[in-house]
Amino acid sequence: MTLGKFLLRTIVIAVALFALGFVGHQLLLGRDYAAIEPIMRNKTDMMAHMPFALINSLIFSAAFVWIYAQGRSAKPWLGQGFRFGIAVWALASVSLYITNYVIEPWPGEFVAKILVWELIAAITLGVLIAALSKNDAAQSRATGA
Amino acid sequence: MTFGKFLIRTAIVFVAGCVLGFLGHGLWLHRDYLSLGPMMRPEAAQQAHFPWVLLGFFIYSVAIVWMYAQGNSSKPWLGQGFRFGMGIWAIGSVPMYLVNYAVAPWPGMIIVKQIAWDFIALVVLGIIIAALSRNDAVRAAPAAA
Repeated sequence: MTLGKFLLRTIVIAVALFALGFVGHQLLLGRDYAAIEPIMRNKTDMMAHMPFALINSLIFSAAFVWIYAQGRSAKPWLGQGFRFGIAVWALASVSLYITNYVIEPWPGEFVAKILVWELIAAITLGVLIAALSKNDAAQSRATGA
Repeated sequence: MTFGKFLIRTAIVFVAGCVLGFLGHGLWLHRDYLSLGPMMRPEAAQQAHFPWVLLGFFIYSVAIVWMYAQGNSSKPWLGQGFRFGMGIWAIGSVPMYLVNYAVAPWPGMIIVKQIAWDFIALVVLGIIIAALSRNDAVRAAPAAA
């Protein structure tokens, strides 16, 4: 994978991550967040800290693209993306929300809803990166030959 | 990798992760967490919810072992483990703490300490899984030939 492709894929994943985050956490689960409002920052404060969320999505996306490239094989890309999405969900989302549930007073049902949404989002991102990388195996074989 | 090896590696990563988590979050950062006051569950309630942390970390360990196996190559195992540790830190820990910082009133210094500790812990875990898997690529190469 060239540096240009790496950067392009990182940006595509970061944008998709933001879009999925907006749909899940703002549109679908926005009302549920009211239950934990007392332990959250207020809206102004949250907006002031938004650059950290942007940095976070870039770091996540770069790692996502890099790790997928290390394990990509000649197997069907859809299945690879699906499995990779589940693994990233297990690694990133399950630990995040279960830890929050244990140490902070988050309602269990709310955490369960978030985890379901995060699974859908992670699989979507996995399939997306697999689709973006689906010709890499053929290209690297041709280059290596 | 056989199913037996997969289970043994998962168990080792799980135990090592629990020990590292206890050293970092249970001992080093314990006082910082106490200073957060009502943002956190009372200690007794955290203890009651603790089995969820174990479940979450077991799922995390399964994902680490599976993901490493997908990208394991014949390159030197130590470097692979180091890079893999950094990759899972970037995809799992950095987003977790930055998101928490952006949306909840966590003090910045605690977030910096958490991210720094997790970097050390995940590089150690990456090296452990790489050491456990270091002969897999050698075995797979003749079989594939």
